[in-house]
Amino acid sequence: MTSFPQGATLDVVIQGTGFSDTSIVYFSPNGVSVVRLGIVDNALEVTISVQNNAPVGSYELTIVTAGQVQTLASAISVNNPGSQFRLPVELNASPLIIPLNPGPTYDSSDVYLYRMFALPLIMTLSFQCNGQSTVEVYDADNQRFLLGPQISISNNTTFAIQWDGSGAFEPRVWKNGAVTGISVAYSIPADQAIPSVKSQFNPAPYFLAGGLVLGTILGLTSIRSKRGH
Amino acid sequence: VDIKAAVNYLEGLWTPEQGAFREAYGLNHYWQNDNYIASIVMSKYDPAKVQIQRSGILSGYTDIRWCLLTGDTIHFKQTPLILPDWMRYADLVGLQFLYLCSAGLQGQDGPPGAPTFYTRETLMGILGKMYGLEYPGYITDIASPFEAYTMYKLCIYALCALKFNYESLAEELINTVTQFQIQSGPQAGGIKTEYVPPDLQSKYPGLLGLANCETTSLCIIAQEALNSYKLKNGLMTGFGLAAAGAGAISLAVKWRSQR
Repeated sequence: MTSFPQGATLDVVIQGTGFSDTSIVYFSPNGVSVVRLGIVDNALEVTISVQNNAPVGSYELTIVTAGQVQTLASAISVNNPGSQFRLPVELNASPLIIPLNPGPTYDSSDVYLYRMFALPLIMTLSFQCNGQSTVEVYDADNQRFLLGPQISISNNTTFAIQWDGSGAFEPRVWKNGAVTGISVAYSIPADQAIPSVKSQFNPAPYFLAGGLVLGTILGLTSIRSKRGH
Repeated sequence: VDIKAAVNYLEGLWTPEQGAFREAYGLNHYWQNDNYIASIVMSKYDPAKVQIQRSGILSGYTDIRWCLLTGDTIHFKQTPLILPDWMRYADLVGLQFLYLCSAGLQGQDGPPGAPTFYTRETLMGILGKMYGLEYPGYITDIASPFEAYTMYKLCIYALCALKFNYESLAEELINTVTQFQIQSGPQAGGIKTEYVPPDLQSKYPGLLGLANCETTSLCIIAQEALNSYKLKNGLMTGFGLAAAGAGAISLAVKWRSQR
C-alpha cells in the first residue's frame, strides 16, 4: 500500500482492464480527491490531491466504469509528513544516526532512508540495545522486508544488509523493547557520490564591462590629446 | 525546436467553445495546469486567447508549479514541503533549483520530515548524476511508473543549465527534445512526451507518438530561454567589443591626424 503525505498532489497509476476516460474514480473516506484522469496503455493514470487535513490512515478506492463498480479496500494510505523522517543516503554522512520516533506500533515509526538512484548498497545497521527487542527493516514502497520480519535481539547487534537501493530502507523497532539508538553506516562508491556542480564562468558581461571601460578610456584619451593641441 | 510549428500545434489544441487548450490532440480534457503553462507561451504569440483563458478556465487560478516560470516564487509550492523524498524526481529537483535561483537563495534546509540541507550546487549535481544514468541523453526518474524518459524533464534541466551558464549542455538537451518534434500529421509541431527505449516499446505502445499541451509549451519555453541566453551573451560581447573598438579607432584616428 502506497502512503501519501497530507497536502500532496501526485500521479498514480491504477493497473487493470476495461478502464476508459469516462471512468469515475474516488477514494473514501473524504480527504483524497482525483483532480485528473487519463488512460495510458489500458491503465488509469490519475492525479490525486490529498487535502492538508485529510484523515491519517487507509483509504478505499472505488472505480465505476460503464456502470460496473470495483472497489479496493486499503488502496492507499495517508500519513502526516510532519512525523516522518526521510533521509537521502547520498546527502547524509555515514554513519547516520536514525532518530527514534515513537508511534503506535514502533519506536522508530516512519523514519527511513532512500536512494536518489536505485543503485545497490550494503547497509551496516547497528542497534544499541540493552535487553530484549524485536527489530526489522521494511520497504513500504515495494512491500518487502529487507531484514526480518521480527528479528529478536538481546544486546547491541549489527546487521549487514544488501539493499538494491530501490524503495525505502526503514529500520523498525517494535514497541516496548530495549533499543536506545539506531545507526547505519554505508559507503557510497565514489562514482555514485553527488558532485557539487558550480556555476560556469560566463565571459559575456565582462566583455561588455571591459569593452565599455576600455572604449571610454581610449575615447577620453583621444579627446584629451585633442584638447592638448 | 521549431517554435513556430510548436505554437501552431498549440493553436490546434484551442477549443473556442471551452475557451481553453485541450490536453492533447483527440482528447477532450481541459486542465488548468496545462492551460496555465500554455498561457505563459501564448501571452507572446496569441494574447487574445490568453485573455479568454484568464476570464474563463484560468480565472483566479495560479499554478503552484508553473508559476515559477514567470518568476512567481510566492505561489510556488516548494516540493520538499509536498514530497519528503523529492530528490528522487528529476523534475522536482530541477524546479527546486529554479526556485532557489528565483528566490535568490544559495541553499536551504529541508523541512522537518526531510531534514537535509541542500544547495544549488548539490541540486545541479543530482541532476548531473541522473542525466544519462540509464540511457545516454535522457534523464532518469526512478519513480516513474513507466520506464520512459520524459521530454519535459529534459527541458527543466535545460532551464537549470542556463542558470549556471552551461550553454552547450542546454543546447544538447534541447537538441534531444527537438528530435521528438512531430513533423507531419494532425500533431505536427507538437513534442512527443516521452522517449521509450526500444526494448520497452512493445510494452508501452500507447506512449509512443503522443504530444501534449504541457510538454510542448515547456519545450517552447526552454528553446526561447536558450535563444535569449545566446542573444543576450552575443549582444553583451558585441557591444563590449564595439565599445573597445570605437575607443581604439578614435584614438588611432587622432594619433594619425597628429602625425
